[in-house]
Amino acid sequence: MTKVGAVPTLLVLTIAAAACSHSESFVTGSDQPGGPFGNESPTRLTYNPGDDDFPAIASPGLLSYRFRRGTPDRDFCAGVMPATGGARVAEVCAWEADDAHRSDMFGAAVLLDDGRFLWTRHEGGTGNQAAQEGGLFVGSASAPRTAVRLLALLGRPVGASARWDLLVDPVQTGPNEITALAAQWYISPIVENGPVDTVILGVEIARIDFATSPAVIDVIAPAPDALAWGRDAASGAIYYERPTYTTSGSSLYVPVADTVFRVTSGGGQPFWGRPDIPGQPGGRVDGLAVGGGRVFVSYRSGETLQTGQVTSQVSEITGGTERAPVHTRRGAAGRWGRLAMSADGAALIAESIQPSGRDLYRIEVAP
Amino acid sequence: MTAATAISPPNKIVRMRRLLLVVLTILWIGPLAAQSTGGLVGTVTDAATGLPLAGVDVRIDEGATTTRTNRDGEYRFRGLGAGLHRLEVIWLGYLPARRDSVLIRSDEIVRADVRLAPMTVELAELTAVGVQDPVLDPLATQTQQRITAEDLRRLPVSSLEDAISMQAGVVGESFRGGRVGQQAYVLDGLGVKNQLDASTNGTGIRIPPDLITEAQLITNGFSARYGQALSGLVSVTTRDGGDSWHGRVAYETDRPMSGVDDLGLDRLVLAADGPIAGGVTAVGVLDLSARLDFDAVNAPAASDPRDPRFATPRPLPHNSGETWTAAGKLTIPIGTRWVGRLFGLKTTEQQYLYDQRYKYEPTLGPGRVTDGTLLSAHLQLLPNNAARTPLVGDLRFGLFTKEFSRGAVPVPDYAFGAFTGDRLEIQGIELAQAQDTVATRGAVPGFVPARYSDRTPWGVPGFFLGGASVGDIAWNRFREFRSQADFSLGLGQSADIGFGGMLAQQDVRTFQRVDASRPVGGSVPPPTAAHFSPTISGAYVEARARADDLGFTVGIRHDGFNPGGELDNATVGARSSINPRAAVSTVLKGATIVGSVGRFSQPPDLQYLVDAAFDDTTRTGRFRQGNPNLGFEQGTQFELSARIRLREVSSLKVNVYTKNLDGLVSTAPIGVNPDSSRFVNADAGHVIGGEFIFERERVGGWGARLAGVIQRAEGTVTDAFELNRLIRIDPNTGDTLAAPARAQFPLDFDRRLSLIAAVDGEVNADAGPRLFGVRPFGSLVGSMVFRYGTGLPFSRTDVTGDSLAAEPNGSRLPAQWTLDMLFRRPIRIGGMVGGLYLDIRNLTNRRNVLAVRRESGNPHPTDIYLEAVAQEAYLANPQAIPFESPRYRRTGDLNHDGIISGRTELYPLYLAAARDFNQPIFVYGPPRQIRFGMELFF
Repeated sequence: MTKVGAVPTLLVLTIAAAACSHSESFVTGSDQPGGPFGNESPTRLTYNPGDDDFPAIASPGLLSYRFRRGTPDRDFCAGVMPATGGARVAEVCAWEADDAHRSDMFGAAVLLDDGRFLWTRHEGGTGNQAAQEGGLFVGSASAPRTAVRLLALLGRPVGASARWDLLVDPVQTGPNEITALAAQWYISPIVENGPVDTVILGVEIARIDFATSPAVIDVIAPAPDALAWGRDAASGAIYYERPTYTTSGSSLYVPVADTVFRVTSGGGQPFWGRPDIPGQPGGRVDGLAVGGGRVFVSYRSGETLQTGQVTSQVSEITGGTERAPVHTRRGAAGRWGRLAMSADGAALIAESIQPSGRDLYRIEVAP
Repeated sequence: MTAATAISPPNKIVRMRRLLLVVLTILWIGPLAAQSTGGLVGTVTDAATGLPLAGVDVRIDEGATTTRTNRDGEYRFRGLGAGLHRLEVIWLGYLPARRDSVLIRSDEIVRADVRLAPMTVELAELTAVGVQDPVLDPLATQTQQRITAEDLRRLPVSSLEDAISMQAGVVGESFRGGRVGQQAYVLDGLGVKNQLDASTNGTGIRIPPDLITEAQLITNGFSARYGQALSGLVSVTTRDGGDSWHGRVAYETDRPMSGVDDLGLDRLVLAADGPIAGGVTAVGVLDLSARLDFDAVNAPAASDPRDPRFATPRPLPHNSGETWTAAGKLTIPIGTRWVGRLFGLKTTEQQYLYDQRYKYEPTLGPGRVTDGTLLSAHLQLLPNNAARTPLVGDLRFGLFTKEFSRGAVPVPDYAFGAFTGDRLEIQGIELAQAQDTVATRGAVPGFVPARYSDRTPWGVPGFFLGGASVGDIAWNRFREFRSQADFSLGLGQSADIGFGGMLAQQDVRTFQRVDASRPVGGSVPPPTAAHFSPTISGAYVEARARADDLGFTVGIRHDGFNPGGELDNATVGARSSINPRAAVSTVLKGATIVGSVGRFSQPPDLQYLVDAAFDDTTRTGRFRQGNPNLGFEQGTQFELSARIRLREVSSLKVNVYTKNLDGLVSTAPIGVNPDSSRFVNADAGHVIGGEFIFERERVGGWGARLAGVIQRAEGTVTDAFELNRLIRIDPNTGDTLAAPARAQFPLDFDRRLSLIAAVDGEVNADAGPRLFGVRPFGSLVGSMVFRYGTGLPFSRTDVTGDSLAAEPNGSRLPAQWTLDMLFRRPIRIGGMVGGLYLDIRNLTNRRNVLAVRRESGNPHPTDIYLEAVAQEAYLANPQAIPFESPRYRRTGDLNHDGIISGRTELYPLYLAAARDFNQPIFVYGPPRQIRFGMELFF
């Protein structure tokens, strides 16, 4: 046996061995694909064969929207994806075993700063256009069944001025707070004896504090019949767009005028009114986006059953005045629908409505 | 291999070996009477005349035990603890005769004849006492293989299980071709068996090698004292504390390795023993080990570069495990003839399981926790060897608990390597422990259905799960309080009679809930729970006698089993079994011939008494109906063995045996539906074989062992869960064809030929070159073990897996072999001894195939099978995958249109996923494992 100062030797060897780190096992996770698109603008963000709609920048850099996943029960899912495009980072769809026997509509998704996921869910019988249950939920996208219902929809919540059917374009405005346009919906024909569509009739813009359940509602401003709204994150300025319908009680909900209002302490001040597109009387506003101190609208020419025949444009409104359109579509190219805007005002997310369905596009806008 | 014998190397080496011997003796061999005992007999004669000397005082251990020779000069000691003893014979007018290290082994009688030299005659003292060759001892009628503490140190093993697996006739936990579970453990004389599910799980306790003095594997002819086993016993003797404090601390790891050779191992061992007060001694061992790739396999890398196992085939993620074992023993002398011992051992093994379904979800692996606890008390009456009929008595009480749970667990929070320091909490375990079958009928709160993972390289929704972990909750607890009394009465110098009995009161609780995220109904079976209290008992009487060179052992054992009245058809009564055993041996021309016959019984696994769900119950709904009316499983064994002393240091043992098994638990169909079945005692089997064991004892610095087995093991059923008749499905009609007559076919562990070769040795302290003043190879101890076994059988089926394509177990796996090595370099530090060691298992990184797919005959599935399952998965989810979906994979978008759609684009992804999902992993044996160890004795 050899004397080699074995205690320190063993000690050093032991410490040295223990200090080595173990090798890593293989890493799992999906590869992040590059986009299938080039550098063209607008940039197509969604390729889903079903509809993708209701874009909103609910939290910085993330685009939330609603999509139809193509199941026979015509379910809608709610998802969140990077506002520049790419794979969804969160989504929630129907999960129950008997989901195929009813229609589920998820929407109004917000991926909160702390990782929680917030969404609305409406349920109804398959083929039945009216939802029978609805609510606002918060939970985990990976375990939606364990989510907590914060608010019952399809009724009048405590603190609301009327029945709330849905929430439009929610944005996170506090650790446990969102702000949204609360609205009602009506199933109505687009034209006389034509196919029906859902008409959104705003009720009010409200803050919803969900630190507790049920959530606490704080109405910011009434927004009767409002279709869309927007909030400038930097200044806190709030705008909403309100159609004026032909006659009270008309079941067609054809607007004779569309007005963007800016919310003030006294209520809503008219900010901009939709003009007719030259040579194409009538029409309606489809989208409103606010961000980076800028306001954008999308509007179109007179309604026809043939979507491909309308002219649709996206324009910036500055000081109540419309600037030259940033993008115009006509005919088979489809039309622009609802809008959302990045917080810095550099890009719009727009619904592109074509005969084949709805997709989302990103439109870079000049400063 | 037997212990080292005195040799005469150079002085330096002698000093070194003596030091090591002293250390090892202190550490591993109890100086006092150990709880497992043996005997010492001999004759004292006058060296000058050869006449026997009557009335001579014979003393053991400085007079701790004494006796006198009878008129024929014979003496006999009983109840000597296993270990080294000092024998001393002093008689007036004669030179004293002494032997310092007479090795007594448990359950063996050593013969030491003494030739006393008259004062007037000069004889060397050492030659005055001749210890008889234990190989030729005719009283040793059991077929046993010994594993000594020195073996555990010198061979590349890190657990008792490792050491047992390199004994002749052992395949995994199958002994001599029998099923798993046909063996029992005896720890310090106390029987320990996981009676609940021995055929599918172990005892849950891990006996630290640092606690072991000796272990024996007894595969036939075992004493009537032992029951609850058909094929073998593992008897372990632990050490008592010494008379001064000593200990060992060791750390071993594979951290210095990298890549596939770094499996994330860390192991820490702390052992100490010594006196406390008043003669009371203590032993304590803490053995903690953890590995990031707990049951590493040598599976080949994936073939698809997109598969992460293509570049990093191992370690597997979320396959960590840790084993914590703590053991302690107090030895309490009570007067001169009584010794009390208190023993406690607890092992917790928990594993974060790699589940191929969750390959891409490293946070969702299921977990498994097994706790094994043994508390025992032992009161031992040592014999008065001077009495005419000395009595040895042992009274033992043991409380053994094994608790098992499996289900969803949170991601382990690793603190060091794979050590977490925390217990894995199984989700829903409180409901399981409460056996609440009412609250768990609905969807269990907190459980969420899994869905298809979107993190795979293939993207498509198929095969791989995500979203939530498994929804199963499985829990069971087996608890047994055992009382055991054993007595041995000496009848003169050449006969003993042993008698005793045991009573084990058991408590069984089980719970199982499948798919807890969904309410019971449809494909979700109701939760099952059972609580019952069986009792087993045994009583025996056995006589051992010797007449000249003839030895006889005759015994009879009564076994009783009462399943208890709590089970559904409650009126099942107790049943019993009478088991005679006999052996005769004689010495013929340098060889000892032993013939033995015995009948053995064991109660059935208690798991077969209750309903069982197995396989994927949500898919197949396969259940087995429990049967509280099961009786004993039985076996009858015949053996003829010869032990031959070839040379002074080498011996050969040859055993030929046959074993008939009957009443084994199997499954019988109820009616015509093969999936509706019940456990019954309907299986039979037959094993015939021969073994040889050649040993070269450790003399001159090296020893060797070569063992081989040729055997054939057949039965009517190979597993209790299988149907006991051949199932064939008509390929045209889909009907189940009529079963053929009851036939025997190879059992799962029917290894026809196996060979084990082990050699170990050490080099001189002066050997090798000197580097920086040190001889790195000086005093190096090395060992090598080579194992070879022919392939085990398996059954071929058609591609559906429902119908046998050939006779059951009519095909064979490829042969398996491994080469293991251990090098140990002792280092002396003043008065302390330390060491470094390098332990290499499967040195050549041999890829042994442990199982194959039944439809292909090799580990990989056939292309036909893969295409079928891929097509099925595609048809279940043919929907397009758009770019914004987390499932979108650019490589699958063949036309680069932003959407993966249609069979052209989707099916190749499903096929790749199917190939990934079905790649063989756990069908391969362990890879090369290299561990570095450092140890210090204090």
